[in-house]
Amino acid sequence: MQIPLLQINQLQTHFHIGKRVVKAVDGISISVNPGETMALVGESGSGKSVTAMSIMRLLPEAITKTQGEILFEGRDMLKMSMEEIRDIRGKHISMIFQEPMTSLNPAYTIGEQISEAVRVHSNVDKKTAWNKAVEMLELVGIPAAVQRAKEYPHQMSGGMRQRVMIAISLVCNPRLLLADEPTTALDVTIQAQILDLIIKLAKEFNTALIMITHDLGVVAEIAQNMAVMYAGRIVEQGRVADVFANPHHPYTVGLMDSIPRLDGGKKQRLHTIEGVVPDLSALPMGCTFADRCEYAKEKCREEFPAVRVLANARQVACHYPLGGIES
Amino acid sequence: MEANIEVKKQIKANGHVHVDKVKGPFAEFVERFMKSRSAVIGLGILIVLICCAVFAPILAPYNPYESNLPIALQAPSAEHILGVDELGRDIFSRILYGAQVSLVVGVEAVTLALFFGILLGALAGFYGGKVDTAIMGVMDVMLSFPSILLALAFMTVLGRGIDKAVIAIGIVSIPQYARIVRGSVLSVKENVYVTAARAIGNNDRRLIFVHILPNVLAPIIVRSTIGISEAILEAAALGFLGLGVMPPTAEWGTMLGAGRQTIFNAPHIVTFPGLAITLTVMAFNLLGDGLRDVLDPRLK
Amino acid sequence: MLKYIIRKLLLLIPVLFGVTLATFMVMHLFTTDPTEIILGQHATTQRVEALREELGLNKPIYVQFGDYLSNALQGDLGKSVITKTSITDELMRRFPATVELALTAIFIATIMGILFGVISAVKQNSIYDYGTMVTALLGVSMPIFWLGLMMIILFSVILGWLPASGRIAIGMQPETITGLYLVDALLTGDMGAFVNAFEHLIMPAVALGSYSTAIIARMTRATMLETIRQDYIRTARAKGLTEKIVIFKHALRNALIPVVTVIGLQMGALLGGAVLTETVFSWPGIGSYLVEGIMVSDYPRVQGAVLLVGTIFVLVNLLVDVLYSYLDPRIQHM
Repeated sequence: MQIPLLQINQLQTHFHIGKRVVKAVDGISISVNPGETMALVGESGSGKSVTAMSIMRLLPEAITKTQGEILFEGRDMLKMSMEEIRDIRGKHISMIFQEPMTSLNPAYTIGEQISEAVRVHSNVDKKTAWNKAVEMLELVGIPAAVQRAKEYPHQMSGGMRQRVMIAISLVCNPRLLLADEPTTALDVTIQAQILDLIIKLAKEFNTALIMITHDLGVVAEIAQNMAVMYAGRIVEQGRVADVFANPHHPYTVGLMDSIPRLDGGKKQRLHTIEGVVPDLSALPMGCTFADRCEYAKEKCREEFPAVRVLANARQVACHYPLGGIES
Repeated sequence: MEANIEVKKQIKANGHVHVDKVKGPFAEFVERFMKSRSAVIGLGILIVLICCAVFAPILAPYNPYESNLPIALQAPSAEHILGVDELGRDIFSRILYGAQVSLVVGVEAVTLALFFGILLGALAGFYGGKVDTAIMGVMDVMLSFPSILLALAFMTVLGRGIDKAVIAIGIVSIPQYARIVRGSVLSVKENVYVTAARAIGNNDRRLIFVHILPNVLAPIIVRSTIGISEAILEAAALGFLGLGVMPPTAEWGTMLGAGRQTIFNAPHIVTFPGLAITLTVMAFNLLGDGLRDVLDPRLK
Repeated sequence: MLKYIIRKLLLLIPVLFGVTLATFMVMHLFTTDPTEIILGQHATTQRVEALREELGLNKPIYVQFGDYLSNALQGDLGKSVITKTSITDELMRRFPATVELALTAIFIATIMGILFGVISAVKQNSIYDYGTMVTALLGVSMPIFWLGLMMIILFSVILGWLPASGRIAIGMQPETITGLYLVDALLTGDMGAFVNAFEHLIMPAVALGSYSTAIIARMTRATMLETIRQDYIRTARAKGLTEKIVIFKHALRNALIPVVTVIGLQMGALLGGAVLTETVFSWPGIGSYLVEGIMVSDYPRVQGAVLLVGTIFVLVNLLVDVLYSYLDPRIQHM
């Protein structure tokens, strides 16, 4: 068996805000192999972004309490000093954010911002780093890269800025890339371009990818593995083909039913999941999805369902899984 | 009661009713005010200062104008807790009386500046065009000088005395209020309800005073509070330079200026009036900062 | 960029004209007749008339203004009615003293203000933060002339460390090159003069800069708090930069943009404050010249000094504008 590149065990990320404790991530376990793509799926507020930020240790320390393990190449990142973390950030693990319009510093040229990432992690002079930056800009498909490197973020469109972010994140050839809904804020017309670019470059650089998205269509296209998050927990995970062929958790089923289908033939109403994600600072005792679940029984409201591990690394957290499980 | 008035206003302005306001605006203001630490501390100090000023004749242990040359320059003691000045007058008593002068000067100067500032700013903002260019041109020239310098220039012209200090300080602070009012009027002017008010036949003056000005009240209140602290500082500076109130009136800045001559052998004479100025100015600053948070969090 | 500066300079012309007109009008329309100051109230009509002619006061007011303006443009601000000496010469002689004082004060205020503001923001709600903010509140509330007096009491009277007045000890003036004693002493290698000038300068400069320090610290804290919450700061951290670089390179650069405006405005407050500070420390600059002029009702002197300070103030604001557009690349200066 392959040694995973990233292995998260029972990660909890809780925010202490005043007297409230917000359980943004509450005991999740995932693993990503080198060069593989894993999709993290769920509604907004399900804890996907917080998971990524926990890996990068980018959350405000004063109010954040993390527990569990985040093993990167076997070393626990939660136990590392800030210096060790800084050495990993940008060099071994990079991140692309959701907001391309505000994620670049308005006061510096994009060339400076890319070459800065080079210079912080390798001992090269300014000129070499700058050339590397221009090279990366070409790679991410920015025309006239030599000139555009001297431009400021405000001179570029959202799609261009996200390309710059991709350049920054990949310039040090990291082993893992975290992409946090990288296309959500962009025009529909360029979403596919940016997504294709990320997939293409991840393959070229042999970089493992955690793609955070709420779009199951994207998942089917790009990922080998997927994990479905709900209210800070993973309710179902496994190989994408398996999950799509036979979803076990009612929430996963609900998500799939809400994808518009072109092959449906007859007119079918799009399915929606009634209700909203529960308040993360006052989670119910039982299954967090019970209130919105059409299959919920009494047990679901009283007892939280443990994670069941099935064949092919398939996992599901449900008392009454759908689709028939052979134990 | 308050809620009622608010609703009526809204009907007048918008033509339709908002009844979702349960708490009156004043009750809400008080509640938010009490939550602002700096506003409460500032107001607290201010109330004490106002009491000192009002009850100075009762609180003062000595006549602030009665000199007693044999004990001149004496340091603080049991009889004279803050010592006596170069003419043997009790400094504590003089500081109490000085509170009257400083508070009155501050409030009067700002009132003067407010009156002309609101008038000019409203005219400039409402009519625009040449009126705007002319008024704001003059304001810009005035803002081309440090305000204390301009006040000094006016004092040269007007001569010495407390009324003249009020006028000089008042005049130099007009542009600040004119700017705020003009800016607010410009942004409020285009609002739908002003157009609506005009459509139902309100004349210009009524529009400015009834419909536009109430909406620019918050920034003006905040600015005026800070403005009082600036006016008090400027008045003290004029007094210090010997251009403010005429002796023997007890005024903090003038006391400082006089004590300067004896700073080497009687440092207490300059110490305490300065503390009084600092405390008063601080109270208005705190109150102003607090009011800004309470009234308009967007203002910075 | 050059185009932008030139356009701004052209815009200055009406403002400076207004400034000149304003000082002129104020001084001429409302002041006591200068002949009265010079000759006293009981002079003969003949002598008064002769003097009016000599001073040009018999001409219509707009002609007087035209004369004043054209003279001012040639650098002639007239003569003091008391000492009969050239005001321009006296202002130029005193100008370096005020410049040295104001520059040192703004230098101290900028460095200290930004430093305290940044640390306060980074350690928000710590004891350090509260301490800085309370001190800053005191700083904006204290009259600077009182602070100056308190410093004299402490450092000159009680401790005896620093001189209470003047710009340098008599006989120690360095050879005049720039007129700034610190610079001249360094250029001529006169270390004794440098130390002595510094000892005279430090107290007035700190007193003068105290208000600005407090304002800059408050402003820096506020803008830093806003900036460190921005997405690009997260990006900078995600790149693996050290916290020092994140704060001082990425956050501060953006936080400073509004602070620069405040520093520019402080130059104005500083020029005003110089009038008071110079008086407290008997500093031989333009401020004390002005105050003395007011005391003896020497209006051409007051007029000249006010005009000079107003002009400097306007020019400083232009400088701030230019600096601002350099710091914020989003501002188009075409």
